[in-house]
Amino acid sequence: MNPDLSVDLCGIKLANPIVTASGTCGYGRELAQFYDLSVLGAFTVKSLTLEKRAGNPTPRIAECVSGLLNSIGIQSQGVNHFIEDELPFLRQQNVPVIVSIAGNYADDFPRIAEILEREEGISAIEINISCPNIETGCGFGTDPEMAGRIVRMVKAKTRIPVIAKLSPNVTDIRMIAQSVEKNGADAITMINTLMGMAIDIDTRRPKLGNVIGGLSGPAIKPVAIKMVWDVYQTVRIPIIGMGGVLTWEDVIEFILAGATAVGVGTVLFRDPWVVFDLIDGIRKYLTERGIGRLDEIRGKVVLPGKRD
Amino acid sequence: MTKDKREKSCLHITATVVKNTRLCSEHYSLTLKNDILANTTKPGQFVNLRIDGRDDLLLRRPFSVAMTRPAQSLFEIVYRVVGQGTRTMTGLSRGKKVDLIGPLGTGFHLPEESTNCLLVGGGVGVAPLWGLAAQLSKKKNRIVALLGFRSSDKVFGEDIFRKLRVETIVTTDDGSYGLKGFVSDHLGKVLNRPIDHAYVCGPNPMLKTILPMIRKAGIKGEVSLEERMGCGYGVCLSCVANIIEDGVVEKKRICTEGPVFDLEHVVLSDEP
Repeated sequence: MNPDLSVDLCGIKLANPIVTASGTCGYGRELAQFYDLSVLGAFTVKSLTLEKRAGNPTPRIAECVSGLLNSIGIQSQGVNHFIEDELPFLRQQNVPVIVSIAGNYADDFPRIAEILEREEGISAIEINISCPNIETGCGFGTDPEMAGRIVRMVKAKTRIPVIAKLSPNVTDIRMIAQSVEKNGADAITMINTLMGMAIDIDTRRPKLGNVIGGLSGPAIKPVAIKMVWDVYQTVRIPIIGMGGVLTWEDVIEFILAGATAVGVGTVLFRDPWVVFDLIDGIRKYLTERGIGRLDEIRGKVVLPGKRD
Repeated sequence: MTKDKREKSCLHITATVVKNTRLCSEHYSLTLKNDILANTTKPGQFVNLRIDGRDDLLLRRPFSVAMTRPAQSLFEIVYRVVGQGTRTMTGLSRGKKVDLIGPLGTGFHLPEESTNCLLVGGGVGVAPLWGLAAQLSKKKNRIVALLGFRSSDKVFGEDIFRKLRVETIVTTDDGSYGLKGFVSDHLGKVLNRPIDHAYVCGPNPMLKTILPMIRKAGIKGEVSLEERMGCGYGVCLSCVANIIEDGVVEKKRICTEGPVFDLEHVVLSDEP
């Protein structure tokens, strides 16, 4: 028996649920030197901005216990550079491409979307309204009204499916999820990093050049699982669940919490080849239990007092 | 099906520990066996080592390759024990396998004909200059090495340079071994000699004082930079440096466009 791992993400057919997380694999060339990107369910590019951005001062990264703190600050060559120099390469990789976009101002999002709308080979646009490392980044994603407004403006400029990437740095993530759904988002990616800080006790300096940053890695996985579960019960649009995936067991956990697809990010820094183990592991899990399709277990966490 | 596609995985190397010895109070030398790395790594390139059995450490640890012995399939890295990863590495014993990605980054460029070369290293930054000194001496370059350490218990590698018949000057900050002071205190004198090429590797405070001195003396050369690294293969954009390209300062990835850069092109933050 070969179980069906394919998933339908707002009309985009993914061969398997594994999606790269934005900002953890550039525009694909580096990973492609290790393996064919077509093994992935989808590839998400690093967030594009309208203009070139230098990013934050170094150090930009600090390892914590089971977590990673980063403050890259969206170093970007800008959307036009992406279209000219990177997109032609990605089009040839035989993998759905999700293009993440970020902005300094709310109006940047529809402007970038308008530019991308003219291009072939983009499966979805992911709007990064949750980056903790740029001045306004989190502001867009922590206010339900603003988050909804940006989704609506982007939807007005493009027919490409729009995915909203949500911040966990909020009181109730369900409010943001409902707002982006109501304003036309086709899917949700969650979660972005949790805001954090670390201090070197010898020098008394913050470990990041930007003082604060975003925490990723297995330390945040339980937070992500809980939030995916909350949002799964609240909205009807599909969720790309992510936050701290290291192993195939983590992928299954996200699916049981309600994720349609699952993102991998930080783990790729240590093991770019992990995606093979993830896919093999999911297949084995389903095979051993006689489950024919991954879809069958989505959201099927068995709660206390309920029968499975 | 997925297995076949994995075959494309070049750069993913399993090496075997041959020797793991203490060089001084905080530096260790790890000798590893792997035919590909021993034969393809250029001086200045690095490997990114996974700390086995430590799933909680999310990043690999990058180390420049200090020396290669292609005929024996051996290569050597030098590491300074600074945290949990490197502390765990001190337990690596003969026969153990280590998971590496490499060789990564750019290496040093050797002069086309034999010249007068200056090597300046500070602390663990001395290590990548070993292999470079070996290659330069094979090509009949005249070499002087200026090596700086904090104190006598942290000095390592001097014997290797001497064995290569490199004129070796050692400094310690506290004067407990060799000349007293920083390398910058003794560089001026060395720069009065005829030097054609300089190769530098060391901590940023050292680079901030000595790069302007070398440039002012009109000497061309290269510097290997260090910065907190995430992935080591170019995707995370953590380890960037300010590099002048066509008159414009650009953020370049030390792991990919570097770690070795033309010393004319490097702009260190708040450089005098």
